[in-house]
Amino acid sequence: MKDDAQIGDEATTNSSRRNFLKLGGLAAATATVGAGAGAGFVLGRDPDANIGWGRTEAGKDMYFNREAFEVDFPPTMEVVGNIERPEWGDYLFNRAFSLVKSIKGGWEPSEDWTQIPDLRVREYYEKYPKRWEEMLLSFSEKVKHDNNIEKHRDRFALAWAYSGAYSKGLHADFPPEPTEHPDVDDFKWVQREPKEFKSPEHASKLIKQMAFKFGMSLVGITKLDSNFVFKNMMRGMPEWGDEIPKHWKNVIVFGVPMNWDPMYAAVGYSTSYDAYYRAKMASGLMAAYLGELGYAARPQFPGNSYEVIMPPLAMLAGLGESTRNGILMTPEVGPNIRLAAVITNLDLEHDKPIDLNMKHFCESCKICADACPSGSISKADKPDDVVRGIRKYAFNQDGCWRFWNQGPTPSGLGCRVCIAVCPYTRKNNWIHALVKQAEPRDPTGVTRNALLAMQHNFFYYPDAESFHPEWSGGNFASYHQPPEWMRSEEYLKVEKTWEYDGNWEGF
Amino acid sequence: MFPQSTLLDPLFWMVLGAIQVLVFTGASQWAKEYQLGMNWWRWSVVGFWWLSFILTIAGAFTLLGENEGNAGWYVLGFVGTLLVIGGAAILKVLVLLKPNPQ
Repeated sequence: MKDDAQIGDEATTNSSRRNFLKLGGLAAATATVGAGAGAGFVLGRDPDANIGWGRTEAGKDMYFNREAFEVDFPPTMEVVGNIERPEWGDYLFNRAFSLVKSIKGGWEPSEDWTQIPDLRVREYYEKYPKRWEEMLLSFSEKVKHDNNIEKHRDRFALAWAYSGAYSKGLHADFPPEPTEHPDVDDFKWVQREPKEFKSPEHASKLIKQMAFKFGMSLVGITKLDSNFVFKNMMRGMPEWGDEIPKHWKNVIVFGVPMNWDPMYAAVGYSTSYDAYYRAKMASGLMAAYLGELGYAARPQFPGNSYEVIMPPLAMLAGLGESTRNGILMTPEVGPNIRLAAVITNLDLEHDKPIDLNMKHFCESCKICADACPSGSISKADKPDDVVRGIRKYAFNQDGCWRFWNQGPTPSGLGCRVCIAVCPYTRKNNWIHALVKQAEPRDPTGVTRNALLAMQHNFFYYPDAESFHPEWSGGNFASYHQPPEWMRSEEYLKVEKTWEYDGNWEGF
Repeated sequence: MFPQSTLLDPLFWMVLGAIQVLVFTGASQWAKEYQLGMNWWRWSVVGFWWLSFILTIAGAFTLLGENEGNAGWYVLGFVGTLLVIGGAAILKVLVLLKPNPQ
């Protein structure tokens, strides 16, 4: 029998234990809230979330499993007529360089496009006469840019240095530009007799692994579809018709994102050259690798060395889908991807296109169109244009080019705002990975609508005009403010006379 | 919490998991004190609310961490407020449904 004193002691002990658990539970709950906030914050900051910049080979969780979404034909490549191959003049850089050459030769551009000296350029503006106004404006905007740009060096010095370094790398002579007929040039890579693969499946598996080892983030393989090969255009050949070399059988398409934090700080702090450089080098390495195994290779790489249009081939290779702003959108990096490719005669197993509901996402979103500083992206509810037999959103590439020439980069080239603001351009942290996995699996569209409601109401987007430079009425706004390592006031002896307009951490 | 650390990161998640035992043991004591008569579905509702609450805080701070300041505060304010209201409603329901003492 326990006496009263023992019973009293046990009651006190039990009460004390209960109080400990009650108070301990409250303390643990408070600690959990703090830990959730802290862990969330550092995961948002985590540079490991910069897909394609660090975890390329090892980080398996950063790749989207496409298997459940494979289809026979890309849903955003809606064919509504005879598909026509692109002409030389359809390529913006061809037109721009030709016009610059004519101007340097003494030609003075006027509002009358019929006076354009190069017939191929003239034919393009015959199809799109209104776009000539934009191209014409680009010349005067470039002059304004050149007159003003140096005044802003204090602010952009580190960004320009970053871009300039990659630009130098990009313009190195590897891979070399073709100088002869493709039947000769593409075989210059070949060092030995072809070594036969066990099967096309084996070849594809190996080639994909090598693409990652050569620095690429995403890779897909497709048959070379002649519909997406330019006519009248072949590097190394001054004259070329519409023939396609017989050894051009398959295309290995790959891509890498632009470095995330500068890209979010488009226009002034961003550059395409970082990703261009990596994509170009990888295309050369892949071509050399194929050559060592005895196969012909034709690298296609940025900025301007192509015989094919990359986005449709990337869609056929299952990398992503076409979007409102006219570029490829992938599930991993959204439209933040710069593409390169190698055309080869090696037999390869092909990937299948994918359907991730991006078509419906773009129909509802329109954030890129609202933010576009040049108003070049269609705001229509549905694709409102047909280009060479394929239905897509109207996109004014000359208007886009006009704004390129206003950008506060030393070369006055590039914008990237539509890439930065796209809700799919998100890093690989848990919150965005969760959303990207959930949205394509919801056939009702509820997830998409809820996400877009948050996107439209919770996120800050500077006005389209604010992205303009100060000399044309803007304030150099960017979707995100520049990262610390691009802020010249943090490292250089400069007087900070500006305020940043863009998203920041919120403290 | 320590994503760049080989040692601290797994330790952090283990400790955070372990203290959830304390959270729920403490909650159990509070429930007994208020005689809420907790059963499996009541615990499921409470557990789901707790998970949603922590994920909302973590999600909002992830957005802040990746420089989406506006979105982070809005998510915390909007979804967080809804969850606090939801939590109060769950508590009210638990109190209303508590078994009568015999």
